[in-house]
Amino acid sequence: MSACTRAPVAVRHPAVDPSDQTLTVRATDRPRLGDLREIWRYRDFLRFQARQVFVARYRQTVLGVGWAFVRPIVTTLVFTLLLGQMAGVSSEGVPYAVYAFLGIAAWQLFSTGVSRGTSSVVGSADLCAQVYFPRAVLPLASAVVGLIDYLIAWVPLAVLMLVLGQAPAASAPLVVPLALVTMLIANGIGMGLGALNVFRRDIGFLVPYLLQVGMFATPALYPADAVPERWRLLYGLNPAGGLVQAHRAVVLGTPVDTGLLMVSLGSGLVLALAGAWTFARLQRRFVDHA
Amino acid sequence: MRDELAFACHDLGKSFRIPTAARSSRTRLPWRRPMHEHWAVRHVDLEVRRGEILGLVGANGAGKSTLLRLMTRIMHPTEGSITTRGRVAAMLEVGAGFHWELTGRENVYLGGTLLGMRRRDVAARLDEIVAFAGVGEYLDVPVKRYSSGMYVRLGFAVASHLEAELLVVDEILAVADAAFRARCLERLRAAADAGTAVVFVSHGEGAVEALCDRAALLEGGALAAAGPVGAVMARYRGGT
Repeated sequence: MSACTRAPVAVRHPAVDPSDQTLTVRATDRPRLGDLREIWRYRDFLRFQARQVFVARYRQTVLGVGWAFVRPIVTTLVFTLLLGQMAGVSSEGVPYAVYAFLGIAAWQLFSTGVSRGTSSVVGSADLCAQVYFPRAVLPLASAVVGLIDYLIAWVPLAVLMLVLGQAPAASAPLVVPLALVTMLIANGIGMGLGALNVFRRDIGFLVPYLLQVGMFATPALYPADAVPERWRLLYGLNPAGGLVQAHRAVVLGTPVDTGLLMVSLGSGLVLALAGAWTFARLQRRFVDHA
Repeated sequence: MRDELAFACHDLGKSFRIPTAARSSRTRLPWRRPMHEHWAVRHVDLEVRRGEILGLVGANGAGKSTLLRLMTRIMHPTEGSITTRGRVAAMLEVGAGFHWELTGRENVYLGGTLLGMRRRDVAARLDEIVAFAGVGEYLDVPVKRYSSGMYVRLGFAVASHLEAELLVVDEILAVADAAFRARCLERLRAAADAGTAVVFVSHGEGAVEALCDRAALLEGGALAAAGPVGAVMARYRGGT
């Protein structure tokens, strides 16, 4: 039948492979986020994608990854002069620079996951149209990048704490679960917005403004109790609010606003689940729509 | 699905909602554009056996690309079902899934991990892929600096050397030169001999006859003929 003779190229395809399982996709399948085991199988792709998102920002820069240090440092410097020195914002007896740095680092962990998650699917539209992979990897990679940025921010933060003589409190290890929960909530919200952004690109324009407002509606640069008691519940509905407050409090040993944290966790959980559900419903139509 | 099959679909259909004509009425809001349904593929039943090379032919707009995207799970069907066995590798466009900014080496890994392979499994095939693509000294150069020939060679090498039970190749070889085309066809045959099922789309006269064991013809989204290459190709040429 074939005009070609057997190729001289070495072949390594085992016809019978451990991954030799059949998979059936039916039009009537219920929408689902994807098999967690499948996402796990694609973990190396997740790593690649996260690295790509991370590295792409610093490509063709002189400073390279150094910019990851510059960002939180400059932001902290500006707000320390502006709010700490000029406006005299309270920082619960802690050096304001440390106080603001911790708040900003925690806030950026959240906002990076949301903002990059929003653009993650649209940004990889070509890839989606050419290859199958569990689409949830895209927003997840964005959230992972937020976590990497956050870990990097700890380097100048530790130096700052050392220089200003601010020792971490005994409760400091609790930042680990708090940071992970923040990342997961940001991931859920980023997923929902990222899915909606495929169909209505307005979302991509809207989110940066919301995050800008969100930063000031979050106790990142000022203590949470600067907000009047009767507004506190509404204030906590911002999922970053209680998390950022608790995050800083456990490191510095200042009191955690448990009520605020609970409200934020509740609203964060609801928003994240709604986001994941939205993603699961819409992901089948990502490629159709592009 | 029967044991000898690598792919099967049943009553497969895919429809798209596309905007109807021009927005004539001013009263229409931008998010309420009138849409109508267009069936790109409908009522398709097709099977591909392991180790078989199926040639898929059809005029532009016959639904070939949509069918390939359904086979590879890139799109979700509107009707019917698809069953695949093992990994499905797709090469629908030249260097699909390549990142411009990444180097050739990084892209090889990216291509492998996109199939759900582990890094070390890709590493085991790296030398073979590089040798086939002949990009040796450019391996650590970003692919945006590649010539289109190098790009297509590396893309094909990656897709065809990974561990897949079904390999789907769209009309991509048009970009390659004659010598590389011949090696690609050889490579597809070798993969098939090793048990991989190959679905191959080509307009290139001769390639389907030279390579494929069986052919299928799509017309207006429906399967018009499937069977021996000679008969299907005769009908395809007669119809156009």
